[in-house]
Amino acid sequence: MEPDANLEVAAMVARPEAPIPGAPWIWNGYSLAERERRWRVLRQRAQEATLDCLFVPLGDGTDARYFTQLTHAAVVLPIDDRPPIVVADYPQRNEWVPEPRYAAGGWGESMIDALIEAGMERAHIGVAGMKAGLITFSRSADGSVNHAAFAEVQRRLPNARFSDATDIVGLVRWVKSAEEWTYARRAVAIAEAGIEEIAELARPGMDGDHLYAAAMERMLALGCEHPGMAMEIGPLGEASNHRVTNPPVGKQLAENDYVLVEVNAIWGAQGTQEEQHFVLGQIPDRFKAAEDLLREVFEATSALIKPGNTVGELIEFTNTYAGRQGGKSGLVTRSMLKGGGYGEDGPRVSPMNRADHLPESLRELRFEPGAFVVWKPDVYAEDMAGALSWGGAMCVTDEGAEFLGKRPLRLISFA
Amino acid sequence: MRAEAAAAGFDCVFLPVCLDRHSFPPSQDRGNGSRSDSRYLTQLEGVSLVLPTDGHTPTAIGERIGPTRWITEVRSVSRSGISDSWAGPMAKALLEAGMERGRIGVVGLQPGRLAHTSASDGVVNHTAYAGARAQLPRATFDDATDIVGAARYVKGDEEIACLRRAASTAAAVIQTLVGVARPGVPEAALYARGMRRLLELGSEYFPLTLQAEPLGRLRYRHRNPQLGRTLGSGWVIEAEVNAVWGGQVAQEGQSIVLGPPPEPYRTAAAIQREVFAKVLDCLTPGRDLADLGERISGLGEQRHGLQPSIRLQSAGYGDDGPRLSSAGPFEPLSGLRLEPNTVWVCQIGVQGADGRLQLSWGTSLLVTERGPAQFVNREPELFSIE
Repeated sequence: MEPDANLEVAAMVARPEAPIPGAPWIWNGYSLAERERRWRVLRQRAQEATLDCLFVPLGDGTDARYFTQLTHAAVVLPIDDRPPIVVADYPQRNEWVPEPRYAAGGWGESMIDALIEAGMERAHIGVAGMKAGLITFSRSADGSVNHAAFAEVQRRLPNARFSDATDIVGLVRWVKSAEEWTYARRAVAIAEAGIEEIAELARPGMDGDHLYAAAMERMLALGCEHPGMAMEIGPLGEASNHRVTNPPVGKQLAENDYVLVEVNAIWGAQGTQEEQHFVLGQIPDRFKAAEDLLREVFEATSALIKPGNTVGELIEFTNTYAGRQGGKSGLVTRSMLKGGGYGEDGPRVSPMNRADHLPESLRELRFEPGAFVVWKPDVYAEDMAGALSWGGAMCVTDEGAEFLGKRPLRLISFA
Repeated sequence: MRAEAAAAGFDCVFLPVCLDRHSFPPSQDRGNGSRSDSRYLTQLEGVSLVLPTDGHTPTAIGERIGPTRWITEVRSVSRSGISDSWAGPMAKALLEAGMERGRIGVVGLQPGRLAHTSASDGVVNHTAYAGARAQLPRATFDDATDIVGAARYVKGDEEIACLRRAASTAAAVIQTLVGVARPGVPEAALYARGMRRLLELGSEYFPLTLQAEPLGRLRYRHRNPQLGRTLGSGWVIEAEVNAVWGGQVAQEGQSIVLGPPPEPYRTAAAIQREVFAKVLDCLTPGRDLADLGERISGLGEQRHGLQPSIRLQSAGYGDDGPRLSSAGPFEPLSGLRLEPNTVWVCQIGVQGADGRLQLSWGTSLLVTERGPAQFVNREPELFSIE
């Protein structure tokens, strides 16, 4: 099911006048049913963990958006049926949270008031974003909680018990509803439009900044929220040390360049990352062999990403795949696993990680039906001076992971 | 900066790891500024730094970090599947620098007058900072946000050159928007074209801020493209363009009317011109900023039923200060001076009594020994596309 463009248009036409001049508008198109689903599952998981509430403090903007569709909020969600207490920046509000409290000055005081009003002075409080999680903040070892505001909360609620609840929230966020999947699929389509733009324009002589800018324009014109792109441009077969996440200033494409792009697109607060490589010339035989192997391993591993199987099993299978096929003349298969969504960057395993070196919680994490992963295995060889990779958003199903992109998975060549 | 920190009684300046703007996106300014000290002090993204005031070599702590021309001593935070905490490596670097009983000046703990001005609770990551602090129970930790802020406030020649280029890029984007904005154009296409121009000119990604609505309707502010909206005749578009070069952010702003502007809008534009000229007259190097605030407040008096407003904010790596508004308050700025080689974003707004008439214009200014100078030759005017 694709998001209905007519509904999007109608929503924008019918939106209320701004409450004050210049009020920020944040996309908030999820239904009230989606709100109820999220809050219900979050409450249930928090209850199972013997928490009295979930608390999203200042700093954890991504969880705040998941709970409220507001980008700057703090939330106290009791495990009973009481509505959450939301603190927000004036004048942010939406259908999900029509009457938030507005923070005045520092947020510590407002968050304390919210917790006390919810009866949490002596409670067990689960704090989202305190540290790295399996799904969320997997690259932020220490999470994303603002010190000054949270330290004040801890000081003023000395009898409350604060526990990390990053994974309680993260594991809920990992599994998408049908509504969320419609937006995720649209995000993939937008990312692929960006890739398509690069495929149309990337030729020797093209200015790198212009190529970058054109792809971004294409995605933005489709309504993409905060698009992003990592890019490497360098001679084929030479190690690139010029990975950029902004325009590649001073780079001009040349004959036989190898161009790697990772395109990030967000739609409806669902983000993906799609990887595509290009050669501005003939594909050498070595890379053709890598392509064949990557196609094999992508197919085999996609089938493995299904409920019941663990991340460790997937990584072990992928990393040993080439070896099991007889070595493949020095070609090595590796893993690149991420998450997809609004700031869900896990479960994260990078090509340098071995399965037996992963933390146990990550190694033993089982795929769940409806979970969103970004899967981009690669084929590496020293004489290729890098790795060939492709892939992107996958939906975990009982039959294995479904690749959501429509593009053929291949190394694109402009000979 | 070392001398200032030593004079304030600090044994070192400590920049802990700060919140990632992708997870801390409250306002663009705040988000953009959260890790700005890292870039200012090291030219690296999102690192922690221990800078002893006695002249010893500073140590940077970060992920995937290696020595650079600026920073030769580095300590890595390991990443294996799930990242390890920064608390240990930060504490170790402080201990190695002899800070076990030291007085440590922490950057970003609170909002400052000269940096992180809009971050009401500072920008420091709780888990990492609290963890590091617990490992140095005999040390004293105090806020030092404005010690780094003071250094950031006055620009070097290289920084000014970057800001000049950024301002020129922002002005070019405004030209593009003026060229594209027409009735019938989807707002998202206008947004996308403006961003394309920004990136083509090599700016780092910084979202364009657009407000577009029919005349007389209160406008939302968008920092992303909006589908389902098509520009119409009689719409007012307000664009705030931030461009980044060398990490430095300059801003230019412009209002555009699609169609003949009604008389009150022409009057508003004339007020903008008059007020801007007077603001320039006030920007005398050496002036106390509280005094400057009082003067610009005097320019904000209502005329012809329209209320002008003036905002001045230091420009730099993001969420810079000082920040002045004609609405005040000015007392907190007392003691700060308008220094030569400072760069400011000046925004002149005019609003009708009910908020339905709203025009804004802005530009980036360099204050020199001789007075203010614009980076780009623009003056307040209302672009009307008929």
